[in-house]
Amino acid sequence: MPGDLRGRPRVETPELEALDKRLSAIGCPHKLYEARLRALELVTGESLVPEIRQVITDRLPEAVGELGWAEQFERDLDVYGLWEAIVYFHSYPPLSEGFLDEACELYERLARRYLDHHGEIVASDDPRILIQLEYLRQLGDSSSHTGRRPAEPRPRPETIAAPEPPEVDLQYENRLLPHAIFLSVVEYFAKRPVLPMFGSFADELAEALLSHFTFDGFPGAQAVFFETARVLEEHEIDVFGPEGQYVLQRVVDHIAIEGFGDFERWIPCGGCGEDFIIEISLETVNESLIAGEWRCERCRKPLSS
Amino acid sequence: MPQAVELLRADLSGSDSFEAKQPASRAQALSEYVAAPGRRPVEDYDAIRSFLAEDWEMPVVEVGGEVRETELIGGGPSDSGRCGVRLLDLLDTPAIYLVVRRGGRGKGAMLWTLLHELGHFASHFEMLESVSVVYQRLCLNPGLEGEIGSFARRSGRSLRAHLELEADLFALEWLLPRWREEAGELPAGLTRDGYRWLALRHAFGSATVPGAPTAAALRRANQAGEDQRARSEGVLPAGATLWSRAAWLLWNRERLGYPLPPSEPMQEYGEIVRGPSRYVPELARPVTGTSRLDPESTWLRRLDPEQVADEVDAAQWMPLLVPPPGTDYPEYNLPIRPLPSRDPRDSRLPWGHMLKSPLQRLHPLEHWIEKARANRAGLLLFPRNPAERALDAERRARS
Repeated sequence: MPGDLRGRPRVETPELEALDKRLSAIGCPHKLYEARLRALELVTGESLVPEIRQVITDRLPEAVGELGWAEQFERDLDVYGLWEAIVYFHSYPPLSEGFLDEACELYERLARRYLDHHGEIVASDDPRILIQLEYLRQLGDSSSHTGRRPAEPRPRPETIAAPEPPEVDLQYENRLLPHAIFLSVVEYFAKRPVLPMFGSFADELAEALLSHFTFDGFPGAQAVFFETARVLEEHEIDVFGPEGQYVLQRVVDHIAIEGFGDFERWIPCGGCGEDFIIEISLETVNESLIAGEWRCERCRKPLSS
Repeated sequence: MPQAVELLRADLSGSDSFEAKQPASRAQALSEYVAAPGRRPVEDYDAIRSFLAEDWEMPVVEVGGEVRETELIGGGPSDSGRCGVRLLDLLDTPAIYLVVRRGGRGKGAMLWTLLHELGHFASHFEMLESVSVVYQRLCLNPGLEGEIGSFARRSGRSLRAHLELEADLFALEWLLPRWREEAGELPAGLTRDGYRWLALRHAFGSATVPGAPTAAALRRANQAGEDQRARSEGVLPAGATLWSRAAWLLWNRERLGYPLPPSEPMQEYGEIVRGPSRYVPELARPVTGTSRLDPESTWLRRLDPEQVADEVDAAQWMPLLVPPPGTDYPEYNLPIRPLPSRDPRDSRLPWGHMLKSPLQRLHPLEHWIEKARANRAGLLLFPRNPAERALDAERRARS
């Protein structure tokens, strides 16, 4: 059962199961909204968004034999992304033979293409790409499908340092742009212009991460730690060193309190089929970062197994 | 001063709700405040400045040198103030601040300038908020520069005149409330012209309305007022002094009204930038290809890469562009800004991409120049202007 069918009655049917299995096989964790596909178009130079219209939207009235379902599909695509919009076909009247196959094939092709270029897209400095992703963020895109993410294992370090609060350097100069909303909140309470100063880069980075996750959209209880590790590595900080562990600990502490109840903590395990609640502790987070994904609390297998 | 601040708080602070703190609500509150019958004007520059900074998080920065404004519509001449927007990035709603030029014209002129700039916020905050959207679009669609430039050549002067007139009217309404004249609250022996002349002198800090004026003083004021009315009957001359502008408005405000009805150039500007909403048409219809550069319609100042370090350290009031070689607009512009710092030299600071999150790693200018060159993109630099440097310099640490 996909965990993404929010706001819809969950009617388990063989059709739904088959669709879910087929579309999930490609293993694309990223929701393919139009804006994300436009970013892909910019990277590849290919025209992709119109294909959805040609293969699905324009043919739906004929495939269903009724008007109105094309609009339903467009709405689902806009709100949930291509994966869900196709999965919802299980709740449509019977579709003409071959149509569903072609829709699934289109998803598979676009998802594969997206996976090929995901790294290039997220690392891009091209404003046309950044604005498409920002547009998604402002709409509350949680970026990825619940419970699924590509495995990104890291070599197991010889030792994992204890988190160590950095020494406070009174001469420390900030190295990050201030978060505009965070700054306005600080200035509101201070009643004067304030340049928030820190005693170390680790403290500045931890504050910036928490501001980012608070004000720019929470990426999910799993993704938040992988994103933290990515940012640490971008700044050449060893994730498993004392400084990296200090920053991770601060994020863990924050998420354990603020993220409590987040629906993404319930994860369906691919191994035993049970849903489990991920445990948010520094130790679990470290193990998950090494494995590249969360492990099922019940069968201890990685989620992708 | 504390009493004056309290008066402003009572009239303008409103509720503590999120809604009341939004620029639209505050602009509305200002417009209602200046029109309120029976209001006694607060004329204390420091009190107004203090209220704006402490209660509305709208700093008022005093600078010693040249000030410029209205960058998107052709750039006005050197001015005495600016209602600016601080673009920490091009994604969030920008913070608004006011700039007042310190000068030898006295506190009265500074008060007028402060209220004039506040008038821009009250009447034009949607335009101010649109600035970040316009620059977003300029990054996605560098050819938009030509469209805006061509509009500025055609209608910029008329639009500027409209905006300045409206801001002046706000200052006038603040200092000389209409209700006083309408209620006939004129001191004995003064004609309406004489009263206006004295009141304006008082607003500019150069005279006070005497408690028991002599008959000769009243005659002089009435005569001066009559002369001023005669001088204000024509059109407002271009380049008029602050006093002449204010006097002209005072004797013409019944005819003009406040706020002014929207002008055609304002509507046209709104259509070009797609209004005050954060609507970015390039998202729905991505711009592909390049268009030919029209030198007549460019308004962003262009630099060679080797000029960048010197220019970003100089007093700049507008973004600067390092274009890629060629005569076409590039496919996109890379927007960058320096790290806020007490160091006054932007060239020594690391710079960040204004469409990326604050978590990004910042880089020196050379990195960005090389990156833009390699991608054949324009590099749109947003160096801090003198007021923003002053703001950074006065920002104190949190703890």
